[in-house]
Amino acid sequence: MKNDMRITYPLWQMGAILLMILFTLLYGLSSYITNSILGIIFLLIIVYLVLLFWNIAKHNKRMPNQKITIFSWKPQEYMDDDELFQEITKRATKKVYSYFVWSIPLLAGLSLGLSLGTIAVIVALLLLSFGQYLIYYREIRKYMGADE
Amino acid sequence: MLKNRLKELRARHDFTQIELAKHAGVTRQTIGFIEKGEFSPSITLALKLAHALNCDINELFWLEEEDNNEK
Repeated sequence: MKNDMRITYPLWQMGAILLMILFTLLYGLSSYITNSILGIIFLLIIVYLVLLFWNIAKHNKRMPNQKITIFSWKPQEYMDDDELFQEITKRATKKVYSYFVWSIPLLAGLSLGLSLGTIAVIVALLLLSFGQYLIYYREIRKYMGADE
Repeated sequence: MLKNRLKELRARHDFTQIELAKHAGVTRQTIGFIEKGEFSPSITLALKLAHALNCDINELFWLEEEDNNEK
């Protein structure tokens, strides 16, 4: 399981979200954006994508029966290998569901109550998404970490 | 709580976790989690495991309450 990228896939998603937060913040504070900052962001995105595709290719070569493809509606971190994996995926997705049941209305209330601006709302949504992957990853690691 | 003698019976048959997993059509991790009592298998999988170990399902799995009643 140590080399199964489906377990670490949420970390990659979290990395992408951090890049999006960075980009959103810099876009929001547009007076600070310079060509060199934009260049650094695009360089970071390219490095991220190269590393992501390289790791996906490595995973797919190692585990041809559990290939990862980014061109799919199904979240690639889901594990359906057998009933244990389905159960673990179910437990993790249940936790994420509970998290959204509370966090989305809370964010909506805060946005209205504090009259948050567009950038703040986008960053908050991205942070919620970051939290979703963190919860999912921690739950999966709880089981798969014990197996290693 | 569901208890089992999977580890004991697997050892008696000289099966590794991987071999038993292949017989039952599941992953090695599933066998490990069942042995540790961290995962309760479906009836279908329990029957497959009993079949692979050539024993009765009641010999392999039982409820803890039933066990206490016997004592």
